[in-house]
Amino acid sequence: MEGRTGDDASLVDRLRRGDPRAFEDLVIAYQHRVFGVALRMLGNRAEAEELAQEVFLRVHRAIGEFRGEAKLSTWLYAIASRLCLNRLASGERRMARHGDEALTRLASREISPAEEVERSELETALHRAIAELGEERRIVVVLRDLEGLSYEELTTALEREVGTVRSRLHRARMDLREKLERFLP
Amino acid sequence: MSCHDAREQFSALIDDALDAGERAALDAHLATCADCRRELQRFRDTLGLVRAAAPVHAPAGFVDRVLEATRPVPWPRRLVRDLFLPWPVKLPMEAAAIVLVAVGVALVYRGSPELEQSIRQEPAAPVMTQAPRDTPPEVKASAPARENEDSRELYGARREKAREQDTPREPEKAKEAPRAQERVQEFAKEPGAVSRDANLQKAPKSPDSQAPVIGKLEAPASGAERQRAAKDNVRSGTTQPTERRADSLKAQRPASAPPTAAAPSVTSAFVPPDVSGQLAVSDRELALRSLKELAARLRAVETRRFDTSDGPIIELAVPRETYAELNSGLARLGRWRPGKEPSTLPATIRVVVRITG
Repeated sequence: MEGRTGDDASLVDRLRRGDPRAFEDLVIAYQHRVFGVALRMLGNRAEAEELAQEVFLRVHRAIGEFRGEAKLSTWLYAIASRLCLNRLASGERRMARHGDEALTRLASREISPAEEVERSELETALHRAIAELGEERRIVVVLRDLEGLSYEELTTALEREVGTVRSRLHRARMDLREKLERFLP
Repeated sequence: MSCHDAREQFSALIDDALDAGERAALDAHLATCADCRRELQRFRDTLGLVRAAAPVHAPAGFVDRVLEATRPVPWPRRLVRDLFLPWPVKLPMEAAAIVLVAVGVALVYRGSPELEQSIRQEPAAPVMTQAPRDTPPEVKASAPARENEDSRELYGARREKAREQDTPREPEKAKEAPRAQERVQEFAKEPGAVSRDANLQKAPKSPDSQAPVIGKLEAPASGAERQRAAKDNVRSGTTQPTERRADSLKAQRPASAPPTAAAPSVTSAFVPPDVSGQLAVSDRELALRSLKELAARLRAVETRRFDTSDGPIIELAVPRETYAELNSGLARLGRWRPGKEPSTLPATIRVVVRITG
C-alpha cells in the first residue's frame, strides 16, 4: 500500500524542518486511507472529504507536537478516528441520524442506482452491514479489518485497553457474520 | 471449555492474539467439537469477505484542496474573515445588537407621551411671543445657522429630561448639552415661568434662548412638512433624534419658509406673551368658532395664529378689563389650563391659547 512503504521517519523529519514538499507527500501518501476511514464511518462522501481535510489540517498545524512515539500512520488514524467519533456523537452532522436505519440509508445513498446495478450484491450488503454497526464497534472493524492496524496500533489510536478493543472487535465480527451469512459458502 | 467460551475466542485466534495456554485450550476443544469447527470456518469466511471489500479512494483534487487550505490567507482576506466569521461569535453579537435596538425603540415609544406632555407644558413652548414686525430683518439673516445648532442641543436635552424619569442618565449625554439641560431643568422647576423665559431670551448674544422657539416652532414649514417632521420625532430612536430634527429644519427653512414678516420667525428680540395656556377641547373647530365669538365679545383681537400638528395656537390681545371674563369663557369652552400670570397686568394682555384635543 502506498505510504506504508515510505519512510515515515524521514517524512516526519522533513515536515519538522518545514520542507514545503513534505506535507504534500504526506497528503498524497495517506489521503485514501484517511478518506476511507472517514467515509466508512460517516457514510457520506462530502462529509468524509471535509473531515479528511480537517485531519490533514490538524496534522499540518500540530506536526511540531508529534513526538514520534507512535507511527505516523497511527497518529493520523488516531486523529481521524477521534474526529469521526466526535462528529457522530455530536449534533454537528448535517444529516439527521435516526439510529442504525439512518446509517443504512446513508450507506445506500452513497451509490447511484446505476452503480447499485454494477456493484455486486455482496458489496452492497457488506457496505450496509458495516454501516449498521454501532460506532464504537465500527471504528474497530474499519481500522483492523479494512485498514490492517495491529492490536497495539488500535489501542494507541483509540486510546482503549486491549481487552476493550478485543471485545469490541469480536462483537463487531459476530454481527457481520450474522448479517452476511447468506453470502457464506 | 464450553462452545460459548470457545467461540468468544475466535477473533483472537484469527488475529493470533491468544497466549499459548488459551490457544492450547481452544485447539483441544475444536478437536472434539465439529460445530465449533464449522462455526470457526464461517467466522473466517466472514472476515475474508470484509477484508476483500473494495478499497476507497479519495476524490480527485483532494490533495490540491488540502494544500490550498493550508496556505496562509492574505491579511485582507483574513481581516474580512475575522470580521464576518466565526458564526458562533458573530451571531450572538448580532442578536444582542438587535435586542439592544429593539429595547431602545421600545423605550423611546414608551417615553413619547411623556415627552410630548413635557414639551406642551413648557411655558416657552407656545413661543407666540412677538410679532415679527418687532424684529429687525438683519438680525434674522444671521439666525438660521445658530438656530440649527441650538435646536439640536436643546432637543437632545429635552429628550434627556424626559428619559430621566424612566432610565438613569448617561453621563456622556449629559455633557453634550449641559446648558440646555440646565435650562430644561429650570423650566421643569417653574412650569409657568414666563419671566424667566423672558430673561433668557433677553440675554445678550444668547442663541440658546431661541432654541425653544425652534424646537417648538418648526411650524413655518408647510403642513405636509410639519406632519413629516412630527412623524420623524416619533419614529426616531435614541440614536439620532437631534440630528434628524436639525436636518429637517435645515431642509425646510430655506425652501419653504424664509423668515418673513408674516412668519413666526425666530429672533433675538422676542418678547414672551403675558399669559399662555392650553385649552383641551373635544371639537377643535367648534372651539375655534366659540373662541372667535368670545374674543369679539370681549374686544380681544387675534394677533397671530398658527396651525401645528398638535392643534392651532392663537394669540389674542385682550384688554385688561375683559381678561377675567376671557379666562372664564375659555374655561367654559374646554379644559383651560393657563400658565402663571405676571404680577401686574398690562393694559393689553397678550394671551396665547394652544387648542388641543
